[in-house]
Amino acid sequence: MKKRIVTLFLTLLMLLSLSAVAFAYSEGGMPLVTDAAGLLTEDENAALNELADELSAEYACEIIVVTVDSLDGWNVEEFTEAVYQQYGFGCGAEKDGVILLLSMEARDYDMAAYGYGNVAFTDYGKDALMDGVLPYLRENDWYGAFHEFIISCGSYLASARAGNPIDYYYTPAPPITPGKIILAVIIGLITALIVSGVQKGKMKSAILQTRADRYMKELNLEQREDNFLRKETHRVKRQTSSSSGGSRSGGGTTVRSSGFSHHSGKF
Amino acid sequence: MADQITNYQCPSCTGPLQFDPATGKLVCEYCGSAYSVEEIEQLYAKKDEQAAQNSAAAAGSPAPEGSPWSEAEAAGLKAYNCPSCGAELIFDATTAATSCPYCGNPTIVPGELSGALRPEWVIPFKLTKDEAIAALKKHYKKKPLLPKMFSNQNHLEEIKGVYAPFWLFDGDAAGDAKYDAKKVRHWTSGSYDVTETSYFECFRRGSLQFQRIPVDSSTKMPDEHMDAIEPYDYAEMKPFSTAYLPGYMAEKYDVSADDAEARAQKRAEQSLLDAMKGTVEGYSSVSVASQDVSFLRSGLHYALLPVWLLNTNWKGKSYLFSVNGQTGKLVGDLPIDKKRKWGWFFGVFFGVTAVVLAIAALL
Repeated sequence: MKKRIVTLFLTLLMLLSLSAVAFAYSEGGMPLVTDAAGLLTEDENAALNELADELSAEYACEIIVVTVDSLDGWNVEEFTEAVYQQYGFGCGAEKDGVILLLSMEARDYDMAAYGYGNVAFTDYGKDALMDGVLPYLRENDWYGAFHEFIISCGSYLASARAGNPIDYYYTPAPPITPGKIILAVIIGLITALIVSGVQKGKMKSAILQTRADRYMKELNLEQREDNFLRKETHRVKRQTSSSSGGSRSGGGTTVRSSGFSHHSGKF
Repeated sequence: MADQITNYQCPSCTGPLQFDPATGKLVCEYCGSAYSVEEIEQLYAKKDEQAAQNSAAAAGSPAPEGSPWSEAEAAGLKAYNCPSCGAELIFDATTAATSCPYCGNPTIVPGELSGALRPEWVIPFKLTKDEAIAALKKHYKKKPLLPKMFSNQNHLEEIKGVYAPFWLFDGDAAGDAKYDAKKVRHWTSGSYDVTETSYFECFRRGSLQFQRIPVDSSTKMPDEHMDAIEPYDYAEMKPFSTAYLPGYMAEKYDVSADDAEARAQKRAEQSLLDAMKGTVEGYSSVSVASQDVSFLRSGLHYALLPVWLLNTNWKGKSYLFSVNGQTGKLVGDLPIDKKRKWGWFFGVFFGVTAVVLAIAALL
């Protein structure tokens, strides 16, 4: 079955490639932007291919976009891997590349990296990059989404080639939220009150004494009783870390045995 | 009431003797001779006795009709003649030692410090006038809210070394208290966070012995100041002698021991409560459920303790500072510059807010 679908897909792509001779092609002979689902106009397709080709060449790492109508029951990540390998995507001996695949049937997406792509697009990097692309996808702004994807991939590759792959530690500062402002104001207010209090305290030194510890001897404790009354136990189910959705933490890239790393979901 | 006053004169030149805090001796300002307190005490023992007798005799006789000072006496004032220059001196009822405003000689009213009114102990001055002034200058430092011109513009109106009368209370505080205490433990069991709270009821009964809790016994001395300049080192306490007084003012008490006891009692009881609560250990939280303590006086002493009082004036308002004449500890409230206060407040507020925002933006 797998072979059948891939063959079907191959035919689809061959047809497409024939109709788009002016497009940029991968080293494996495929256009970098392959819109099998027919989401883009011809002009858009041409413009995106040109952009992808230019940036891919500049950073020696292919930036690929593929759209299909259906996964035919495949898992989106396996499908992406199959497409990448079957059509010879990737640059150089290591087949360096990054791919965004959309399947329109169930609105699945997968961003996968291979070879040098795994260095440039860390788990966090993919997550952050897709945060910028997904809003366009949700609006069905296909050109906007792919343009954003290709441009972002270019800047991630630029960072990586400069020796600083975008990762947890290199993220730009998130915007200042109203919650943070309120927190900062409260901390500022409390600190100011404490400092004023201490300074005012320094100005007042004539204070009545409340204790006479200096003049006392040892405490003579005649009776000392500590009686246990009762015990109460409360059990609360723990929040597991996976349910809290903390996928943004940590650095580096999780690469599978297949050599791919993925970031997939629905749009 | 004493109608004779004394000043200690130099046995060599009859110049006035002053107590010198640096050497602990009585020094003649004119010929420079120095005498120990014991020497002067012996020399003047006879004179003191005489004064006491006269005072007793005077107390027995009614004031003469139409006396020119009867009005003043009714207002709590007394008149004496300075033994050095003969000038008429008017003291208020509680002054026991001062200086003659005309000839400047130190003067003592022995009747105010003898018999039942005689203090048991005295701690002699150790701190000189200059050291007290230096302590005040130091007090102005590191005070960001102090008006800038205060330390320069204010002027020392008056500085006086005063032997302040104190009651020293011995006694025992005893009582009991009940506490509600909690122990809280946290651990995880499987996929559950478990919190276990154990409740306890604690009971403590105890007593504490106190020795010589000082309470100032002069209404002229502000209570807050006299409390705040504690502690005095009782190891340097000496049996009372008027020979320590020349050169200083001395007051006699005008608050009775019974009236003053409430302050000692309150402090002793609080110390006992705190000490007992301190033994309720090993709990996450402790609260007092009930407490009942009392103080029983077992001894009373009357002592004169040395205080430098510095009165300054700034912008028409006077500021009082008290310095422990033995240890040099200075207390006194300072004026606050409102502009500086708000400047600091908003400076810290905006500064901290900006820093926290910057950190929050990076996280």
